[in-house]
Amino acid sequence: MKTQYLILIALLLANKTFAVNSVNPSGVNVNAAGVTSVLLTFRGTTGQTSIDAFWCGQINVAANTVTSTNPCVAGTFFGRLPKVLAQARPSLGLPNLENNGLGGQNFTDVMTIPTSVARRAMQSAQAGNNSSFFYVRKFESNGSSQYIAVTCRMSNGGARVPFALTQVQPYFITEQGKPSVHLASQGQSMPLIQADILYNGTGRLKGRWEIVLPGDLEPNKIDLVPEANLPIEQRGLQKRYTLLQRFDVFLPPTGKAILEGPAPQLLPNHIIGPYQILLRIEATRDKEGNSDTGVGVSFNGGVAGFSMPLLRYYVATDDDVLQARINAGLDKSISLLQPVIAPHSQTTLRFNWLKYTSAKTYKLEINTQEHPNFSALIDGSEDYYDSPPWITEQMKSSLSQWRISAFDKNGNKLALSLWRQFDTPTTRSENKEIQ
Amino acid sequence: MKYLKASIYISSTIALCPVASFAQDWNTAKQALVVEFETSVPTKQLRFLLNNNDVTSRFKQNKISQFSYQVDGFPVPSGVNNLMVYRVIDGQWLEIHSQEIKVLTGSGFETENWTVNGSVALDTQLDADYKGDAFKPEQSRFYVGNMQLSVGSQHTRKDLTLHTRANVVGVSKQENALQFSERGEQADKIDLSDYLVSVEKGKARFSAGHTSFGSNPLLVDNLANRGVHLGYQFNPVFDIAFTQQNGSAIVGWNNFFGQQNSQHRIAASTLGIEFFPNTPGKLRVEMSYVDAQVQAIDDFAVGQVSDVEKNQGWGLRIISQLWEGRVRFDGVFASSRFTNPNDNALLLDDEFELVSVKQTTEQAYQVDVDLDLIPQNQQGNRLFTVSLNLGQDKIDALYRVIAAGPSADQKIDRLGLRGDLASGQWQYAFTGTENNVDRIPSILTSNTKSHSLNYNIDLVNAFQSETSELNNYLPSLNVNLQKVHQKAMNKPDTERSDFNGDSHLPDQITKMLELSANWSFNTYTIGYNLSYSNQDNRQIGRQQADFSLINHSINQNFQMFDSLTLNLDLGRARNFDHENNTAFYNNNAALVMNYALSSDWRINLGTSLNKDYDNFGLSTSNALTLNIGLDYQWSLNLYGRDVPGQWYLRYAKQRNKSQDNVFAFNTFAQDWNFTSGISLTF
Repeated sequence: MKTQYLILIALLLANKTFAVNSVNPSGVNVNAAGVTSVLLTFRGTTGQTSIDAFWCGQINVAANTVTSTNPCVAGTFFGRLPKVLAQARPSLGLPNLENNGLGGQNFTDVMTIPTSVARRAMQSAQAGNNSSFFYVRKFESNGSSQYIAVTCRMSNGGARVPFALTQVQPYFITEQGKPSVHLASQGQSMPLIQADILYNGTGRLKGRWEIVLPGDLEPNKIDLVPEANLPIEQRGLQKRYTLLQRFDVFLPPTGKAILEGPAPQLLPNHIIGPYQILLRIEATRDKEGNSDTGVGVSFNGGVAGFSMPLLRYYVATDDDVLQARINAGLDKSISLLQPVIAPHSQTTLRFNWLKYTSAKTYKLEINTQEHPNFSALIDGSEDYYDSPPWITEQMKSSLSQWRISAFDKNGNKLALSLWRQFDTPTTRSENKEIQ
Repeated sequence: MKYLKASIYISSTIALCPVASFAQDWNTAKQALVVEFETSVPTKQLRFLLNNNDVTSRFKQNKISQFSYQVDGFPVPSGVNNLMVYRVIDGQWLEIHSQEIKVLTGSGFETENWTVNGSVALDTQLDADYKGDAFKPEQSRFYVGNMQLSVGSQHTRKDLTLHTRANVVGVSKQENALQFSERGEQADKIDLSDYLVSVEKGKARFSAGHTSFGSNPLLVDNLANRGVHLGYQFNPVFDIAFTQQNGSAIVGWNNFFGQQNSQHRIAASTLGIEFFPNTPGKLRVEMSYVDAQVQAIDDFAVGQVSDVEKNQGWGLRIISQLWEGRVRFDGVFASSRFTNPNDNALLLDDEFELVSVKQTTEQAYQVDVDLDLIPQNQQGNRLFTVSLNLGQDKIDALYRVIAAGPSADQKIDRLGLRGDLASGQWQYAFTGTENNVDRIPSILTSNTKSHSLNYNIDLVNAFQSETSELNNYLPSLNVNLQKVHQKAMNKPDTERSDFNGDSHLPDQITKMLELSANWSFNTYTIGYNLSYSNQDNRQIGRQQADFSLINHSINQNFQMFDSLTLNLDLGRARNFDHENNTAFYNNNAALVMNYALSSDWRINLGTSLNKDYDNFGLSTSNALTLNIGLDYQWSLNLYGRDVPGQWYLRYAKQRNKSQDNVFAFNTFAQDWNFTSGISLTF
């Protein structure tokens, strides 16, 4: 009985010609001089497929009207939606009786108008034609075609235009410029991150910086698009990765913004390997971008015609391989003592360490604000060094570290201490207590 | 004091060479460094500093008043060194002498530096589980190898300087390749991330790789795709530069010089004239020319929408500083011939003929004048200073260039005031923007007026005096206020534009306030950020479609002791939809902890919680991420050689639960995985 019932449904479906019945929004303000992206919901598309969409300067029916012939007026064809920009996908629709009890289906589409299409429309308007143009999507089922159009009204791309990202460029800020790939040294400070963003409309840009750690599963294409690009029922299914930092900023209708990246100290750089930083854009409420699906209104602020780009960095070893060897327990370390005020002068710091048996020369290195500041080569028979007074002053006033390395008679490094943070110096007597 | 005179020289045989000639010329690496004093100085009182490196222990006394540098293991660095000699008495360092020491490298260069940095690692997902609606990959267990290599060098010899830099990354799985998104299966597993070779000889310079070109913001501006770059300084007055680069930013071995595709290439040149070479910057004129054609190919790692474009253009930039720099002028003009050649991606099965884009020649200009009205005094202690900026841009309706990114079809007026106030900096800016410069009646014309005011000050420094100590309880403050009003200036005819009366015409005021305060103690920092924004819609039919957003966040970083670091972020946002009388909330928290158990073992933990909800229960969303890792530094004996390495184990969990009562659906996605990896250091 069940099989017969299914066959009956299949026969009904096979002979049924379906038709898209409406689109929402049916008209939008667009950027006359640049890219525009808008999320559209084509409703009642159960059983239909759609591959082609295109823009025309004129159509021979009203917008948001279903027609079985191409409504585009010859001589006004501005171009089709390039395949690389196609992001259409089936979505949840309103169930109805015509579907024989099956769930209703809509078709969610991101209309992304390239600048070259807007330019054709602008030149047409300059020539005296209507400034509005139309986005026509073609649906097919059982060999028949239906067309439905959305009106595009030419404006400045600001307020009253759906809030959408039209260009996103994240980068590291380094001495080499603004690279999207950075090679980092293990444990060293990471550079600042920013993203240059061009956008239409105005609204709340909300989301998070996440990181793909070595060994994590690669994000797929669905994971990389802004949440608003997806039908509302699929938005919670994007995979989440380790959170670096959230952001939540309001963008005025001025078209350009710089988004600050996560704080550098939050970027992991201890495990050697490749890392990817993701810019995850969450859907926000934007009246202009709302789309009535028939079931409810989906909010689509932050939609984009492309996937969010990745920032990559690779953590490699510290420049000083011996440090890595010591970390690995391969080489001996040198024990450092607390610096003290030298007995002969209040302006001199005395750096002390425990002697390394076979050392012929020691090297003291002092970093201030994480940059090399001063060093000294010391005879292997000594176990202290008295610094110049200006170094004492600098270490007292700035964040400083020091370490000692030991060398043989040929200058080969034998041992290395860990970096030690400089604290307020103790007196000679206190130092003895520490020992 | 007689001992204040010393002689320093480099000799192949100690103390036999004349003093002056050796001190000024370049010397081979093997020559000895000798210091001789005219009178005797107690040896124990002498300190020798070579480039801020105390090398006193390397100097041995040959005879009275003569000291020679002992090279063994620690040669004098190649390049230009500065040797300073001090006499130390009771902790006071008195400078005796200072002199440059020029030493060639072993291969005859004046300086030679090489840096090589690399690693190999193997990462593996040991196990994973996916529940609910979570995407289930084909494999829950996999491994991937990766490597990284970075090489750089710098060589100089007389007037020749050579810089090189290259970064290479590699993976074992195709889908992890650097260019997998762009080239798919064609992507190289071991790929070139970036490189630069730069040669400078006298007045000429040449570079290949990732080099930057252009300073005309309307024509060619910091173009930094891969290519070649030539520059020549004829004399102090004239200089010329040329570049030819790929049409988009690229990585990889293929198209190594960026010259491969003549249909996707940008050529640009600039002639610079410095009218007053004795006072550079007083008046400089730059003339630029660009010839470019690109295909619809995106820049690497940029999200954008690309087109097929063709463009030639020329530009002029005049930069001037007068009255000791108190008046500054920057004027830019450019003319661009532009078109979009036919793009096959826009064609539709010959059903319709694509409307061709007409080639246009359009212009743009940008003028800025800066004037220091109340400049800072020489002591730098004037409490209030003011600089004025006046500027205007006009960019034609169809103005477009490939090598720079000005927004077309707008006229912008700018007024800016900025300066110091007490120990802080203040800034006010006004911008008035209007589009539709050709006044086409069927296109919506909007006017945007933006006012912004900013002040930042570090109160710790502001209240510090010579007699008082730093008060760390005072924060550094940053306050930013902005108001933007955008309004339609025309009512395009409905028949010609499809604008439906007033309801499609914007009239919106946005107000924003941002406040941040940061405190820094020895090992603890805390920051508080407040942002408030209000969107006031005034267009007909949308008067109530307003939003108010208030956002609080606190971030703290605590270095408890050398081995433990904590970072905690807390945030709360409230977005009020006035039209629907609905408040939407977001609460979030994130904790990151790193703890070094010993010099070999380290634990790290990261967790985050996020909750979105509203006052009517329309929808809720809860997300959790958890990450616990353990790593260990280890060693391996390979063929008698100890090789250091690293091992880690990580557990990660993500959970996301959403409920939507409007659309009547629930989603639940949860996954966890165990990941481990090893790496070797050579």
